[in-house]
Amino acid sequence: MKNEIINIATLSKGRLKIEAEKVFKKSGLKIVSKSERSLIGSIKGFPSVRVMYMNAVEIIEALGKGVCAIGISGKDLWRESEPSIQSKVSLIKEFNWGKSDLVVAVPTSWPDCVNSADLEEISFEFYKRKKRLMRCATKFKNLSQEWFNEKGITQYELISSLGATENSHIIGKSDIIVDLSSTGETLRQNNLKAIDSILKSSACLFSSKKLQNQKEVKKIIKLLSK
Amino acid sequence: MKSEKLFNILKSKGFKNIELDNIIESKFVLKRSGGNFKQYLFSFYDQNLKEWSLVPDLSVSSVVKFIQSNIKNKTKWFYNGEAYRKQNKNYNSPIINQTGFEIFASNNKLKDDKEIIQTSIEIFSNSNFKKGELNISNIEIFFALVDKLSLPLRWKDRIKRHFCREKYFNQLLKKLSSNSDINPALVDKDKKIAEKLRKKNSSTIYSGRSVKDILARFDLKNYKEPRLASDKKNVKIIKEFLKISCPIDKAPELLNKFFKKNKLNLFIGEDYFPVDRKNKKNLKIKFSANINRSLEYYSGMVFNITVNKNKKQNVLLSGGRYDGLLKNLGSKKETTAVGAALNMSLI
Repeated sequence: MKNEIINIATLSKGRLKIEAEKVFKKSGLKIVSKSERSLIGSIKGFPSVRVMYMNAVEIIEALGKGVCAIGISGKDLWRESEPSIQSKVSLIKEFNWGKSDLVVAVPTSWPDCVNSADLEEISFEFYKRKKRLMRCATKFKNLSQEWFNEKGITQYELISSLGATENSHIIGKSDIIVDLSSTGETLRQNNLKAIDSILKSSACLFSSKKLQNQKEVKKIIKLLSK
Repeated sequence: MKSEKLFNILKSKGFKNIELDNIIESKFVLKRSGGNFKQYLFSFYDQNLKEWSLVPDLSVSSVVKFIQSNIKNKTKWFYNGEAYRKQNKNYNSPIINQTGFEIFASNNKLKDDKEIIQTSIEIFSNSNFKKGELNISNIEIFFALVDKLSLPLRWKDRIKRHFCREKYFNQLLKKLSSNSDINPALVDKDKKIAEKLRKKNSSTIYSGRSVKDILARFDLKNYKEPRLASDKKNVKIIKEFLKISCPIDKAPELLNKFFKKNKLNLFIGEDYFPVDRKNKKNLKIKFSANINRSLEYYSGMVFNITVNKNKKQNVLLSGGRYDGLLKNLGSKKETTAVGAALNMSLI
């Protein structure tokens, strides 16, 4: 039988790339790549395995589409992905690094807003007085929508944000934000306070449901999830 | 029942068949259902950056058509067609077949309520179902009850506003009975921020809100109308009311007894029961306080007819009064509206 290539996706940049590589090393899987900048590698002793360095969002998509069998990415990104992708990816293990909370944050200059019930009332105030919906900037539209729905908040508009979400209420792009926060310091520095946590996220080991039952894939999952 | 027979019943009752557009400006849907409904819309932009959607619900489309047609007189019409809604986790078809009938701009609400219910009974009688249950209620009764409770005004508004979202409504009641939403440490911190704000110009805007609005709400919440330590008694009254379900002829007596027992100073008259009090052939008629809660635009009488299929209770028909909806969607004056929609998969 022809040996098919098994693609394993891992993070391509920064501190999280180093943490992910530690996971492989600890599991006895040594990644070999041509150079520091190469985005493809292999694992010693596993000739049919190819390691792909990818963006964290792309890793979830690649797993969902069955392009990669195993991947390391963030729980937040998995939960944010479309149902058609999310349902095709299994969470194997949550690591103790890459931790952050996805929080709903409002300006500190709103002392009357301490919880979701307050925010719901304020959203109606926007509609009544300003004749517009309350604006929320976020990179996490699906998770935000779920939270608003669960908390009974209907009068809002989600504004896409690709970066520096924390200052969008200062420049007038939005009124509130939903964003990741690790220590809360960036929120504080930008006059924001968290009123609720939507999700506690960390880096996780994922597998593609389509490919996870292959013998070689099972073996690598077992090693990485030790 | 064949569609043709159904349409003949509606025509014989004076309802005129109308054609509805397949697309609608998204703002009308969002105005009715809020930003949250956006996830269900198949929407797109035209060259002027106006957002349109495939019609997700024909009742909104029908109301918008009535507003745009500028008709001033009493109008009775019915529609039949397809609505399009994205399905979330299940893989049902995004195409929903809908039929509904409505009466707009009439001055005799009680007569119209009776007419809509009577037409619904006739549709049921001509269906293949041998037995059914007609449940009637009135949102106004619930709202009047909430107004009589000893709660801060903003909590009364909150409870009324979320009556249509059952899951969140139950969470609100839980908060109300347990005070679980109040963190004393945070309240103290926010009091200090509020004092700083009082020194600012009241028209200064912070993230879309003026200092005046922020402080007005802060003072209302913390000083003028603070929550009581516990509102368990009020929560109990609300929960007990929503459990009331009885034959329609016993409803006035039972409801008035309930109000008296809870010292609510309310009295329910005949207007709230727009149907002959006797059971129709094969149709039990009941008052049920806890029905048709999923649509937020209902403002008065609500009803449904349920039938048994595959050992399960299914809603064959449901409807009610939605007087506020037309104004909300752009009508220049208050216009009355009452109507019902059919579950075509059962018909």
